[in-house]
Parts: sequence; structure tokens; C-alpha cells
Amino acid sequence: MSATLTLGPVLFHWPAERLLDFYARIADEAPVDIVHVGEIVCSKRAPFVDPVLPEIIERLRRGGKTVVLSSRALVMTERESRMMTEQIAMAETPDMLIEANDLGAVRSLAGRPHVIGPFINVYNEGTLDYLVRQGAMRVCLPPELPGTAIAALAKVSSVPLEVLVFGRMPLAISARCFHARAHGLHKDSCRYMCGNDPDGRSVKTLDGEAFLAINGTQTMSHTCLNLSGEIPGLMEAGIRHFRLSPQDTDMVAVISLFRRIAEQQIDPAEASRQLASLAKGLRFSNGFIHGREGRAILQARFGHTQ
Amino acid sequence: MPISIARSLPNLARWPLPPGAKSLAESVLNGLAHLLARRHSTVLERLADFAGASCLIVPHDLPYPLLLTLQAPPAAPHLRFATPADATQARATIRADMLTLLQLLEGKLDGDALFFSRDLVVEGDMEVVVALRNAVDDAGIDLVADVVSLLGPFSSPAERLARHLISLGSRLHRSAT
Amino acid sequence: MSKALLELVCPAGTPAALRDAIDAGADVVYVGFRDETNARNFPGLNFSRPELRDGIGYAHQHGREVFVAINTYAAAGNQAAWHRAIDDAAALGADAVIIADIGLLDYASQRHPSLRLHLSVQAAASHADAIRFYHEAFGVRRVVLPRVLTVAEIAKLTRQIPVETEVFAFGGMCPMAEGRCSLSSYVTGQSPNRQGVCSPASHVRYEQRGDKLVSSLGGSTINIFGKDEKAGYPTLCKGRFAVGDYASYLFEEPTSLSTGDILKDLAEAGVKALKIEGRQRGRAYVAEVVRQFRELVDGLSAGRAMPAATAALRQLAEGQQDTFGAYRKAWR
Repeated sequence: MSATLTLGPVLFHWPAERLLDFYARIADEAPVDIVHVGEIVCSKRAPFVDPVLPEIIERLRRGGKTVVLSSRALVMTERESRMMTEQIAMAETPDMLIEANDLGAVRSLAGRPHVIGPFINVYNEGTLDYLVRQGAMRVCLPPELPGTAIAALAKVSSVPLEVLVFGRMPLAISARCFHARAHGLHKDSCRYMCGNDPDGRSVKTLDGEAFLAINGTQTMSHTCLNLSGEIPGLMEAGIRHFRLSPQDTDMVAVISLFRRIAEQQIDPAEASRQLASLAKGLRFSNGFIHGREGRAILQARFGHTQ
Repeated sequence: MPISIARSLPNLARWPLPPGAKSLAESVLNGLAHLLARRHSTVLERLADFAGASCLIVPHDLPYPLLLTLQAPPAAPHLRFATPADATQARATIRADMLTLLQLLEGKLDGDALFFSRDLVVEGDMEVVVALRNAVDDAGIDLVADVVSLLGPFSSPAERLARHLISLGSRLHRSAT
Repeated sequence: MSKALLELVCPAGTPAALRDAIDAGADVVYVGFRDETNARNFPGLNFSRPELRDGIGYAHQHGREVFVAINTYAAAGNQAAWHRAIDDAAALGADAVIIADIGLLDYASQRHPSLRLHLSVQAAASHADAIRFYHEAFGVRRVVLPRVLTVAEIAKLTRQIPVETEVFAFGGMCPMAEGRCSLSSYVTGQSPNRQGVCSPASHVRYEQRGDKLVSSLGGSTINIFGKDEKAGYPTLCKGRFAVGDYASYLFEEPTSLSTGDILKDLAEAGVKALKIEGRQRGRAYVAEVVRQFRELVDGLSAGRAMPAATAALRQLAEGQQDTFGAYRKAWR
């Protein structure tokens, strides 16, 4: 059975113009099956993104992509809650699937088909089973999950499970904006500092070690997740859906490379060399799938397939 | 890390204990460790995962650092005077003045607060330090009551006398520091 | 005590701390089993089954309650350990279990329909729809609110939801939405969600560098303290980091949340219970904080002028600084 590639939502604050260009190219050139859209990190960015969403969705559909609207990862205020309900109302539109990233969204979507995003804690069979009974038709697992847990879940799942394989990993979300804070500002008066860093802003230790990255209210890995070498093992464990997270690089080239890896048309070592030149100096990591610290890079061996 | 621990031990050379006094003091300490282990057996259970780990305890107002080595239950931890060579094998070092260390042993002071204020200094493997703190904290050790329990019928007057002396001692200690 | 405006829910990492908390005036003590089923899975800490039985006995004798936190996420392929924890807590007479995992809530509500379920802060249910979900799906009766909401937001929320609310009143602060943070596992391989630890002691080192104290986690420098500077534990999000050339406490200062001065606001916002953080702290800490809060809550209930938050509480705070945290909007 062949693999399905999914492009996750853009996590960074890219200007509307750039989003339109980005998705136009994805629609025409990227060998990706499903594209997730929507501003999931910060409700303050939504007024810039929401107006261009209909055009983006239309453009992607014309390119033959399945489009999914991702809901916000952290909902706190009444206003944010209302925004989420309105978003979910869009699911009435034929073919418009919603990805829930919060349990409030799961409640609103119960009884109709939807996707469970990586911000919902699916760690075990019991949780998976409950969510599938509520209507989940695909579940993207949290990046922290080790390969043994992925395999155990894949064994019992009646719906496709998806694993994040490329991009800076979302590690935490807060009510506080760290981009604003790094500039001595509060969230209310943030001046959209996060817009200056299309790949997130690097955070270093006092000894100068590259450590984490901030993206507004979100904290991300400094390293770029790269599970290209793990794909054969994951497929052996029964995983068929792989998600790539947009970075400030040639994502069409990245997606094409993963397509060739999934179809065994390229040697994994050669694929990694090409990916490295696309990652613009970001170090790779794959520790989580090996049950280790996420930032580690280990020789690919999950599922002992080479 | 071993370097900084070794730096904390120069007092040893300046204050050598005569061999007889040293072994006598060590047997008293181990007797005390046995007594505490017997009266507070849950401590050993809480430390079971750390059998074999040793920890330097440095009362910085006294010239004699100690090496505490945890054993598999039901054996009591082993205590002896530390030598500079111990610096390399101890997994952690705990440093404070003697009175603070004794009050920590009895759970009368909050170790975290002492650490934040730098009155308690810890180095090395924090896992063993944290385990030790948690185990001791639960035990409800009361040194005076524990020791005088050995005296049977004479325990009450001995306890009153001991508590009086300790309170006098700590007042003197506080006014001196 | 039962007429108090706010219920006082207090931590205990050991049986001795449980008894001290009860003696100091806790209405409820919350505890965990000595394994990865609870979010304070620290070396040497927590309760064996017999210890929990005795602890519940002691609390009930004094007319108080014990909640058991089973608030990590069960591991795929090994859910039985978590199921056993729920079964044992129910059998030993726990007054409530505190759970975050959907699979475990589903299990508990089906197997133990009379067991009182509280939603752990680790579920980070921060708005009415999310809380309604847990209530409708599993009959959850109380939610421990995440430390991201202002007092005004809490007041609005308590009017919209059909369950009691419990909020953090004192102790460690998580700047991140709880249960959605993988910072610790990114750096050490061990996480609050899976192993019940954050920035685990096994990965912590302190090192003297000249007259400076360096704290590190998993080999990465988390902070460097000057000679007379107050020190902190290297919890990842409380470290000093550099963005560009500017080094700061980027995520959160090493402070403790303290609500001594705003208890009246919280009571008026409709909050049912106050939670004191710190199962990993010692007995001396637990007894002192509980005593201070008992006095504050009783004062509030009797309409007495609120005694100023005491210096004693501040001495026990991390870094000996305190904050209202997210309860004030400026925190964001």
C-alpha cells in the first residue's frame, strides 16, 4: 500500500502574500495528498490569515489536494472559543474536514468525521479508541511518542495514524508570548515580532549552545525533525501517513524527496544528504522515535529496517 | 566536578584524627546509622534503588567530611570519614553547616528553601541527593528521642537533659555565627 | 472548617507530610503512588499501597479527604499499570482521583461509576467547551484550571460550566499549558506526560565555575548564578537563555505563584478550592504553607481583615520571589 503525505499547517507568522504564493506552488508542484491550513498558534495572527484562507483553500483544491482546516492549539478566551465554533461551522461545507487540536473542538465535532491533531494527547489505546468512537477518521500522533508506542497503537487502530517526519517540532504552547517577551513587550502590545522570524527565533544557552526556538506563544525544537531514515520501519509497523511541517525552505523539494523515500526510489543516505542542503544549516534530530531525548540524532534503526 | 570536591577537603590534612579516635568515632556513627535504620525502616525502602551509591557530606564548619554509602535493604547505610580519594567515587556532595545538616536530617528545615538561599550547597548527581532528602524527610527522625530510646527506663530524664543541652548549644552556635 | 469559603487542597509526597498537612489544617491532601502513574514521580517520594491505606485512614479519622493523582498519560502497550492504580485508589477509599488522560477517564467512569473524578491540570482544559467535554463524556465533577487564566476569565468561566473549579494558590509555576509540554523530554528523554517528571534530578548537575554556580540539564547550561545570587533548580523553563545578544529569563523567572493577597477575588470568581503545589517539597514546607493558608482562608470566611501575605510564605518560595502569575493579565 502506498504512502499518503500530509503538509501540516504553517506554524510561523508569514505574511498573507507569502502564504498565497506558498500554497499556489504547493497546489501546482508538490506531490502531497493532504494540506492542512489555518492559523493554529496565535489568535492575534488570525486576522491576517483568515481573509486569505478561502482563496488558499480554493487554490489547493484546484490543484487536486484534500484540504483540512486545523483548529487552534490553545483556546483561552471567550473570543477564541467563539472563533473556534465559527471555524467548525465551516465543516458543514461539503468536503471541508476539520482537525481538532483542543478537546473543545472534539466536543463540537463529535459524531461527524474529523481529524485529531498532534496537540491532542493520544498516548494509548484507550484514548485512541474513545476518539475513534467519537468520529476521528485520522489521528496525527504527538511528536513525543516513542516508536514502540507508535507500533502498539498502529497494531490496534481502525483508522490511519499519522506521524510527523519533518520540521521543527512543536514542544510547548503558552498564554504568554515569548517573542514579545524577548523584546521586552507584552502579548497585548506585541508588535508582531514573530513576523520577523519565518523559521522561528533561535534560543541559545548562556554558554552559546543552540537549544530551542520560539515562535510567538509556541516553543519549538531548535533541531529539525528528520525521520526520512525511519520511514521503512514505520511502514513496516503499519504507518502509511506522514506529515511534514512547513519551514522557510523549498518545501516542494522537501516533499518530493519524502515522496521518493516513501516509494523507495532513493537511497536513504542520498536522501539525507539532499535534505541537509535544504534544511539551511538546521541540525537534524530523531531522538523521540528511539525513546530518547528528542534532540538526539541516532542512526536510523526503528523497526530494524535498512 | 571531582576537582571542586577535592578542593573542599583540605581541612582533612590539617586536622588528622589519631587512628584510635577515628575508628571509635566511626563506630559511633555507624551505630547511630544502624539505630536510625532500625527505627525508621521506610527510609531504606525509599532508597532501595540507590544501593551502592555514595555521597560526601561536608559540614563546612567542622574539619571532618563524611562519606555515606547506601546499602541494599535491610542493611543500614555505611558512614566513615572521607579521604581525598573519595572525591572521585562519590556521586554527590552535600555541604552546609553542621546544625543545618542535623535539622535537615530531622525534617525541621525545608531543603529547597535552604538551597535557594545558598545555605545548602549540592553538587554531582542530583537524583541521589533528592532521593536521600525525600526518604529522610518522611522518616520523622528525632535524634534525641532515637538515641535515648536505647536507655530504656532512663530515657525520659536523659531526653530532658539532652534537649536542654542541644537548645543551649544551638543558641551558642547562632550567637557565634 | 467546613464552612470556609474555599477548600484547601494540600500536597503530600510522604505519609509524614500527609499527617503534617492534616494537622496544619488541610481540608484535602492529594498524593500519588510511587511509580510513573503520577506527575511527581521523583526518587524516594510518594506512597506505597499500605501507606495510602494508612494515610486515608488518618485523614478520614480527622474528617478530611484524600485525592489520588493518577495524572500522567498511560503508556501504549502497558495501560494495565494505570488501570491498577485507579482500581487500587478506589478500593482503598480515595475520595477522588485526579486524571488527565481520556483513555483513563473512560476506564474509570465505566469501571468505577461511583468514584469521584477530577480533571487534572495536566489536561489543560482552559475554556468552557473543553471542560464541558470532560463533564459530559466522563462525569468529571471538578476541573483543576491550568495556570494560564486571569481572575476575570476564571469568573466568567465558573458561570458557564457545570463543574467545580480548583485553582493553584501557591507554589511552582508552569509558564506553558500543562500536559502539552515536551521541553523536558526534548532535552532529557523524560517528560511530565509519560514518566511524571520534568527536568529530572538524574539529568541535573551543579558545578562551581570560579565563584559562579552553573546548573545544567542533560549537559546543557540552564543557568549561571553569581556568588551571592539566589539559586534555583534547573527546571528547563525557569532558566536564563539568550535570544540574539539579550540573555534573560525568557520563559519564566524562578518565582513561586502566590495568591495570598487575591484570595477574596478568587472566592468571588466562584472558585471552589485552592490547590497548593509541592508534593516534591519537604514536610517543613508543607506544614508552613498549609498553616499560613489555613489562617488566610479562615480570616476570609469570617470576614476578618486579610492578614498581609506573610514573609514566611516568601521565604519558602522558589528563588524567594513570588508572583500573581497569569491571574493578572500583564503576565502574558
